[in-house]
Amino acid sequence: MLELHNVKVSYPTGDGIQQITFKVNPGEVVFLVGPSGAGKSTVLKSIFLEERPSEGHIIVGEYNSLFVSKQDIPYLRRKLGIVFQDFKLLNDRDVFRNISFVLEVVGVRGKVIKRKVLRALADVGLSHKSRKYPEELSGGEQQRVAIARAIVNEPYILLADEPTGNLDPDTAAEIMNVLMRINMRGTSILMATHNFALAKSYDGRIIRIENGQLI
Amino acid sequence: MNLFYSVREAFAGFTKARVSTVITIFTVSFFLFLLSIVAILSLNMNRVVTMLNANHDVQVFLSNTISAVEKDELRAEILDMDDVLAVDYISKDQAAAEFQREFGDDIFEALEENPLPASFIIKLNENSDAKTNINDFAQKLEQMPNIDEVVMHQGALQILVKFSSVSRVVMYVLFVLVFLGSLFMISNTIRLIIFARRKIIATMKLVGATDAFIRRPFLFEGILQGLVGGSITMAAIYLLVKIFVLQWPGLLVVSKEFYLIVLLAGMLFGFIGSLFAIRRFL
Ligand SMILES: Nc1ncnc2c1ncn2[C@@H]1O[C@H](COP(=O)(O)OP(=O)(O)OP(=O)(O)O)[C@@H](O)[C@H]1O
Ligand SMILES: [Mg+2]
Repeated sequence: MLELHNVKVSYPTGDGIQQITFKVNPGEVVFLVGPSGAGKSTVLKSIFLEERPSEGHIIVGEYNSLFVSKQDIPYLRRKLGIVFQDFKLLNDRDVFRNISFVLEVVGVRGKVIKRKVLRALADVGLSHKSRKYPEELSGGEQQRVAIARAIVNEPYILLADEPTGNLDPDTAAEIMNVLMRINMRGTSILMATHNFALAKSYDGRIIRIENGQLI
Repeated sequence: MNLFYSVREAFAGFTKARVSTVITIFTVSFFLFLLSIVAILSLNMNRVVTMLNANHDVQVFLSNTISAVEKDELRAEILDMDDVLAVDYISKDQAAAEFQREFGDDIFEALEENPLPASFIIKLNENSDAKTNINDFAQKLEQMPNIDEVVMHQGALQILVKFSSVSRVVMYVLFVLVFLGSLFMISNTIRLIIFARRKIIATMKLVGATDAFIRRPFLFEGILQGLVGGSITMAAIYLLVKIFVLQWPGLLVVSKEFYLIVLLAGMLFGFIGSLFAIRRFL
């Protein structure tokens, strides 16, 4: 489902990741844990090919990073649900349209779009905010919109980059519950976090990364 | 559904980049307007020239001392010239009456006698040599006895005759300029919109949008700008022609197809302009 084999990404500055090899099985929860700057986001970026590995390869479903052309990248990304560290909501449109966007992209019909968006909003407990704009929401609410967007296309796997990063413990726990519920329905989760204690308190495998390498 | 999304986004973009959109629309419609005027003039040139000619081509003022016999002889002589179709006599009294009709009150009351001369109005053959070489024709007239002055309504006429041959060239040149100008404006506006939305565009790519999907609304937006610009031009031309026709009936004819072409030209400019911006910046 998701496999990284000896992946290396290097930035011009010399930082990056190397020799990253791991696997996420169907239905599994994996925490990628490490301090700030360890390379967690870079690992996730290599999976959705925002950063192309300079060595090794990555398997996502039927896609192998070695053979994925530039034109294929959007289609590969549609197989993944991605929750970005900085949310990356579309601030020119309301919550509903933020989520419906990824369905418009794949050409889902209008009626189905409405049903799916409302469902995803209900999953993250934000049904009442569907007509709000991102800047009108709290950080935790924005995070939940990002999650709703990531799951609305029913991806193989959810990549979540520090989804509890800037949230207070109660809100963080809520977000974790949302993720665990999503996992119960069969979606695998790969979550990057610097919070080892948080990772340990949930059911899931922990992979540790430091200085760009797994330890 | 995809189409619906693109159109909705295009309309949303319209309301976001208001200033540059409005400027673009008006520039495009101004350019189109110029082009339309030249096209209309060129299309109606023959009609305009004929109308002006039909009124009268050349007027000669006769000396005050001319006798009735001399007048008839002179008339016969002029009628005998090549290309002369008709010679109408306007007496001093007729001229005064005409003057009064044109200018309202009778300004001759104060004067002892009528200062206006009698005149001949000479009509020339269509497409005659005399018409194209009107200066030669006038010189011949001036050498005749009892003619004080030759007045040619040739100023406007000659310009028009010249213009009708030049106008085609002018129209092509103008078309190219207008086309490039509109392209520049529209592609610049679209570029600005793309630039303002670069973060959003980057995010769209991260969540699986193809380039084509991201581009489409911008294309629609360009077409929409051209369409609105074209509509404004259409309305302006329509009004102008209406006013013109009221003033000078029969001088201009502008077909329905012409308006349609203006509209289509606007859309085409918009389409190509945004295609340009997209190719370069997205
Ligand atoms: N675009 C980039 N260009 C150059 N260097 C980068 C870039 N992105 C990240 N880095 C560097 O690569 C290293 C790993 O960064 P990364 O963002 O993967 O860390 P992280 O584990 O996600 O950290 P955090 O917990 O703070 O998000 C860091 O040293 C960072 O400075
Ligand atoms: Mg990070």
